[in-house]
Amino acid sequence: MADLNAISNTLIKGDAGNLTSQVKAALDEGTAASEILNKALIPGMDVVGERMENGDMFIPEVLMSAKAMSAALGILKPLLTDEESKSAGRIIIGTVKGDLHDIGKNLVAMMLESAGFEVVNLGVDIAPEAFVEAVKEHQPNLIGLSALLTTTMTQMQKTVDALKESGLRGQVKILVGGAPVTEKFAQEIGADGYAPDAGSAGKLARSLT
Amino acid sequence: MLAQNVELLSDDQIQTIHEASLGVLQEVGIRVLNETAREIFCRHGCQVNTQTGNVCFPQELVEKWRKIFPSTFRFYGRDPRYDITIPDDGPAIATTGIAPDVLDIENGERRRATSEDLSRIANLVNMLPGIDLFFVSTLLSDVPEDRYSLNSLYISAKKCLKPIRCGVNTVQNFKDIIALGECIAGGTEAFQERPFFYFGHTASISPLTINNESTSMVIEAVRRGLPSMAAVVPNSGLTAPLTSAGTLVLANAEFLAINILIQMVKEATPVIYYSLPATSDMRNGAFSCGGIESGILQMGCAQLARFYGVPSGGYAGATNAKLSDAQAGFEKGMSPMAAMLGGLNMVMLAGLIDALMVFSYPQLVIDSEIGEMIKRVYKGISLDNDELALDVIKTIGPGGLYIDSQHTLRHMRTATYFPDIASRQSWQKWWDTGKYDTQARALKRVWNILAGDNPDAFSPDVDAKIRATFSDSLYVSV
Repeated sequence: MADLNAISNTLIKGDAGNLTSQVKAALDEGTAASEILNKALIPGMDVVGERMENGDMFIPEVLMSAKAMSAALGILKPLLTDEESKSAGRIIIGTVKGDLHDIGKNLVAMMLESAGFEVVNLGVDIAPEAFVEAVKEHQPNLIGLSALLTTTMTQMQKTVDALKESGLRGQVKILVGGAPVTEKFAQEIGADGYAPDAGSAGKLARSLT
Repeated sequence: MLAQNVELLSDDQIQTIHEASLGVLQEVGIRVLNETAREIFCRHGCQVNTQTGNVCFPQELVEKWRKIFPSTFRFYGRDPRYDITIPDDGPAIATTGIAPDVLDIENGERRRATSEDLSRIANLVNMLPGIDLFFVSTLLSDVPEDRYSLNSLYISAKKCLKPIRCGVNTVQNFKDIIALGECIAGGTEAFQERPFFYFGHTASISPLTINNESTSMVIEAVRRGLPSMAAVVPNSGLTAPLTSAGTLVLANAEFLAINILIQMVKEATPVIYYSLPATSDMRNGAFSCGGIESGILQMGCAQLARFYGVPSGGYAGATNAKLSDAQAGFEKGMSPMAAMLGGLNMVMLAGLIDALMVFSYPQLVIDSEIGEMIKRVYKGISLDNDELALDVIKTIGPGGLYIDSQHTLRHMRTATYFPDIASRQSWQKWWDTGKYDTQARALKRVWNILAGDNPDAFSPDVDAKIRATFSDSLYVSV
């Protein structure tokens, strides 16, 4: 019988190499892929989330665990049914028009992936119309808008408005973030959620799906 | 004057960082997203990868071009009284920008900044003795973004005669500020001779990227002979290695790349080793510009600037504090002091709190006082006979008092710095006069300044001329 607890611990340690061997070994021993996912990996990521929130794990450690999780999922996915491998949701994310900063947004994308989301990262300098097109194409549950420059955050409003005009606003929840963005600003422009830092983005996204 | 700077690094260590940066420029290169810039680099002997846009710099090329950097940078005020050249007249103290929010002057609540706020801020900066350079502090929520630069400079120049810098992020904004400058100066040549507006840009983006639109403006400005300040903004742990040494190597490579581009456009264009180094908090990703690492890194940047023979400047004394509390005090005291002792020639510290996101009126006044004290340290002590005071030491002898001596009388108004905001009242007097804390005393000073006339406001003639020239694009009534 595979040691699911050991698999969890390896995931929490962020050791992708060992995790994939352990997952393979468990499969070889006859453990079901769904059991590894539900009894080792998901509980492991829950611990990671908790520890991050308590300040016991730092972001680089969380990202290592997320990478390990992703490597393990790569092995398990072909063995899972569609229902079993369903992600927490799909989110498209991008930095708004006129803003070329993508580092913070990419960090959030990594954190969202680690929270189980399928992330479509559109990149930087994304015009409102391009967000609308991406919503049509990818049919996401959520959309994440990022701005670092105080001069470009106004594009968030324009993007929210463009989604309204296109009639797609009701289909997606809109999250906003970035250094100049505040909860109040998020409310003013009609967004559904605001995360003050990358660490809380995953939790927020989960709460909205 | 300080006899010597505090050196964070040994000569060998500086050489190590320099050589490491050369290695990065040669082997890793810079991703240049602007086509004109790529062409310029290519023409001068850099290797351009047309697929990736990456530009690699042969070491000899960097060594040749970095020797062209001029050794001084002059800031022109609208009034020549406020001209300041670094490093000679430094350390220059500057405000920081550009925050979307302010703490309301009446109720202290956080809200979006408006043109009325900026007008008050410009007025205060004009009157505050500790601040030499006005780098526009806030955005304007009541002005369309494509006219931001014009309106913010109009408001600022109307109240402030010190050199002014504002953010420019579109070509339209850039054209606007030149047109306004020429209008105020009374012609193209007059403005070119004394270009009292400075534009800050983020053509260089960490890690190792030169972007497109800002770079077009930099090239245009340099061609026109207008001063340009290329910021290098490494964020340790996110856009730069987490370690200070790695951050310095990266920042230094970025400084060299963007400023070599500027020299290639026009040789001997004045530059500043201008940086905003800060760490990212690995617990939550927070932009930790109040961290002591910013002061440490600025000491390193200042030393590298001396190695290249260029003036240095940048943010030291940004704070993550949410109000003018003790955290704001020590974050705005320690890093700037470290940076100044390390030889930073332009210290940007005044006005903003909450990681550069909020302007605070009382903080601006407190920061002016910090600026004055930093300059006081830089000034050092004089050792002439009168200051050595040997005669008076002999005369008073053991057991006497100096307070009624002629020597004390002669020096009493100049020998020490008199703070305006720091309180030296007795407990009883402090208690009886309302027991105001620092923030409250600073806010009183804000109101005092604002209640007075600002003798330096625009003349109605100049104002009318500007209003007529920009009738379609000035949105402000202040």
